[in-house]
Amino acid sequence: MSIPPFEQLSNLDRLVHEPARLSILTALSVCESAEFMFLQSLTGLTRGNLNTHLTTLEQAGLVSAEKGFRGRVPQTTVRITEKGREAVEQHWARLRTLQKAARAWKPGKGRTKTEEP
Amino acid sequence: MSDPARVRYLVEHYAQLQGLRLVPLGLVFVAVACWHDRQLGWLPGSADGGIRQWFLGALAVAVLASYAIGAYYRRLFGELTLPANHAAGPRLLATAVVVFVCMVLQEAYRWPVSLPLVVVGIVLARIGVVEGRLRGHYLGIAIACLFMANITSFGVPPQTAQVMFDLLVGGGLLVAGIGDHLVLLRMLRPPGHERYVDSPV
Repeated sequence: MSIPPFEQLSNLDRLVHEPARLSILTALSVCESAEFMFLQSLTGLTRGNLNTHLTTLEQAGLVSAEKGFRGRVPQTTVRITEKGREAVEQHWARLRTLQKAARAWKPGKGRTKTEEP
Repeated sequence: MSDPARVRYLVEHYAQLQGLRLVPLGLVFVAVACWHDRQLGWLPGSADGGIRQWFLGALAVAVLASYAIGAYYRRLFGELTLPANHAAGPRLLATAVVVFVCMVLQEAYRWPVSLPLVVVGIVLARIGVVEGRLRGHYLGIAIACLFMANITSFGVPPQTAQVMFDLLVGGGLLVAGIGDHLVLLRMLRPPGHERYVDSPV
């Protein structure tokens, strides 16, 4: 018996699915690299929170961060890795599939085995 | 911002959305319209053919101002780098070539409807409708272009048509620039203006 789409939503990769990290990965998948400040402007996160998310993504091997200077101003440049690119593209593909399945879902169809009478 | 299509559009068009960079150039063309309408005769040296120097000087100031405004955007929102094979450059070049060819054909055949303006209008209309009319202000400029393309059929004198064309260019740049800047402000938030509390990690 296939798992209903709504139950599949709870099995999504939470590392990628978290809204701020998903925005970060989606933006980085389109560009070569982005400054920390741009990602902060995009997500609206505080500096500390964005730092934490980027550290999480870096430890998972989804992004890489380089620290440098522009003149005397320190700046961090973030790039997505191939692993990160694949992860975010697969994630969006999975969400599109789930969206179609959810639209086609009818009550009473696709119950899990534990719900069967 | 959670809409992936809009995130991708923002990143791909980040440079074009820095619209205030167009404002100085827009003001120059509005000044050109005033000149063609004989409103700037008071400019020193303009009566002796010095208007060319004024125009070139204004263009130079506009270009420098555009660079300074670009630096302002970098300080405000940060910077990003697009891949080397990004499509925007070739697309722009292709559009410029098509418009140039249309100008040559228009000059040769003297059609009553201006083909270059029709093409520019169509291109701008396309920009105005993508992403759920995110840059809908381009539709107004497109309509103005299509109107100007037919200007001779309204019996408008050539001098007035010239002024209207200059206003179209200048006004179009101002509307596009300010409109794109407002779109950018809706999509990005400068650090220090956090829109919501820290998200759970």
